[in-house]
Amino acid sequence: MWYLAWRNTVRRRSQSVFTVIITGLTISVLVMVCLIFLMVQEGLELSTQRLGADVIVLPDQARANAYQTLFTADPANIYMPASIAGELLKIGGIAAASPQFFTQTLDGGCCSYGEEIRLVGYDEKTDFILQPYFNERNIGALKDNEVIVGSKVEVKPGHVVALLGKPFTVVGTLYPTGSGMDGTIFINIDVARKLAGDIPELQHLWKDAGPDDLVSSLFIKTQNGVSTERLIASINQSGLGVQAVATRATINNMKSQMDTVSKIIFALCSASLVIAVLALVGRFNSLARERKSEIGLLRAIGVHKKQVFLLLLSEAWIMALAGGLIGSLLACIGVTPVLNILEDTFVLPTGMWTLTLALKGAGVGIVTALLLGSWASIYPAWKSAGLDPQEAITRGALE
Amino acid sequence: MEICRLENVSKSYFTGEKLSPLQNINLLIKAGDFVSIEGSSGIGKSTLLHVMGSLLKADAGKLYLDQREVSLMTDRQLTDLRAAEIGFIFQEPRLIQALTLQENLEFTKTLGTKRKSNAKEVLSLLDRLGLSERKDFLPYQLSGGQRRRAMVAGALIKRPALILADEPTNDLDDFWAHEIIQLFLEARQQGSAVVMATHNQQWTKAAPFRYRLEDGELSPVQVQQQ
Repeated sequence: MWYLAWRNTVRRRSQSVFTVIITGLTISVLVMVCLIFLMVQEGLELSTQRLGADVIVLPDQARANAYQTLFTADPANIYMPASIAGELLKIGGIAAASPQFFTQTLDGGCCSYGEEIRLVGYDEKTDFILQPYFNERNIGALKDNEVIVGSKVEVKPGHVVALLGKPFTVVGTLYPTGSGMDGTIFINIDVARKLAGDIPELQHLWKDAGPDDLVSSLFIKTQNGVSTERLIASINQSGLGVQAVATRATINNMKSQMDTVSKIIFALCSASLVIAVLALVGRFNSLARERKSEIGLLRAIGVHKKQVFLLLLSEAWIMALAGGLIGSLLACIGVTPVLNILEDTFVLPTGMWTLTLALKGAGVGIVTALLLGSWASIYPAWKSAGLDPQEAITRGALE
Repeated sequence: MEICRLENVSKSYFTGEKLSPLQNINLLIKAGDFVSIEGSSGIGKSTLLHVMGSLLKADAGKLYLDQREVSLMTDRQLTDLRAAEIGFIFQEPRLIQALTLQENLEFTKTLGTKRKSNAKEVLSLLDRLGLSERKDFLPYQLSGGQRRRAMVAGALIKRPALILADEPTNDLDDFWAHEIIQLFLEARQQGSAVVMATHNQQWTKAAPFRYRLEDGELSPVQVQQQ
């Protein structure tokens, strides 16, 4: 009976292709949305787990965007006095504070990393963000000619990369964090300051203070039992010209925004699923009607009702499976370009695109396609199986 | 041995007006019988064959197949009975469109059994009906006459106890019509019963038991013992 189902599907090629296209398109949209949703969710989770800091302090709100700093690797030349760290420690409740200095490579050129990318100088004496990674990999402090790169920076450990005309050896690639760290190159803070100080295009930034006296951000770990919210309020009211944000709150805020958007997207996906089911019900109904006389013949020569039902269901499954595979493949191919477009438009933390995720997506796609095929064909199959053989034979020829 | 028995079977239709093609029909078919049902077109010969094959329920009377009363059988039992015991040749040639000629025969042959089809037997029958060169053709690639012969092959391949042939010689030239009658005679010798409905008297002469259906009644034309 499986062979007959297969032959029926192949034999009615144009009708089968049309059904496969409807299923494939529906599944590709669904899987792509699922994959993007999963990657953003994973990005948020990783950000929460691996960022390590409770509070991030940035120059005041007019000049710096916490979302951008946390979730993107966009080069941002934002600075505040390095002495802020000492002032903040006076407020109390801070267990650790580590400054970072942001600068950037320059776009193109013969001697640089090929695109504009954020360079972050970290302070090895106070750092607690990269330290767990260093400990895990038995890496000591970075030498002046060494860098560590985020998971999305396309250079491998051992390679030498030219940054602003100077060679640096890549000593490691960070684990994915779903944050802006993934697209960042980390170097020693003193080296970062020196590099920034030598960039002719940035000289206007050093009119009031040189890079050695500036930092871009401070990552703070609160003491046990200290309320993060209270500390943030204290910092923001200190009149130091800085803004403090809770990393977890920022991530949670992003999560709640994502939840709302996800609900809308999933409502639209569900609607497209319902439309696809209705379109497929119509197709399977007309297929069953066209084959009434043949179904009558099958019943007459001794094919059971249940077998007719399974035959039509199997044909739907074959088409749905093909649609599911094609749709999942399209989604997997399309997810990266679509994600890139989204990242260019919105501030989005994204997890890593892995084979496991692709397989999960394909699994969801195939199972959904099979369910779609089942929902759409159950009624026509049941109706056809219940046909009176003689009526199907005689009337089927007339319809 | 009794294969099929009709007791006072009646069947009516409402198609604008009431038609009663079968009225109190009594007929006994035994193994090895070759019965022809004659009558003009539209008189109810196909209806009678469909009732005998359990495809159509009679309004009144009883039908026995394999000595079991059909009205007491479940759909599953009836379907199994049709798969094992009845070979249909419909008035319009009908084949499974997605399968080749050989596959059609193999499918029919193996229905209701777990046995694999004997390709040699299938090919031999196709050869007998002049279709061996068309074995890999799909039904739509065959001519009307070839489809008719293919249907005959489909009905005979499983050596059923009862062959119900509705106008089996339509679309066929004398050579192939004669060949098919010959096959029916051979099936009869092997123990099958053949009931052939036709309006063409040229071929009814081969049947030892001839009946005429007229005004809903079945009457013997000629009874000849062989």
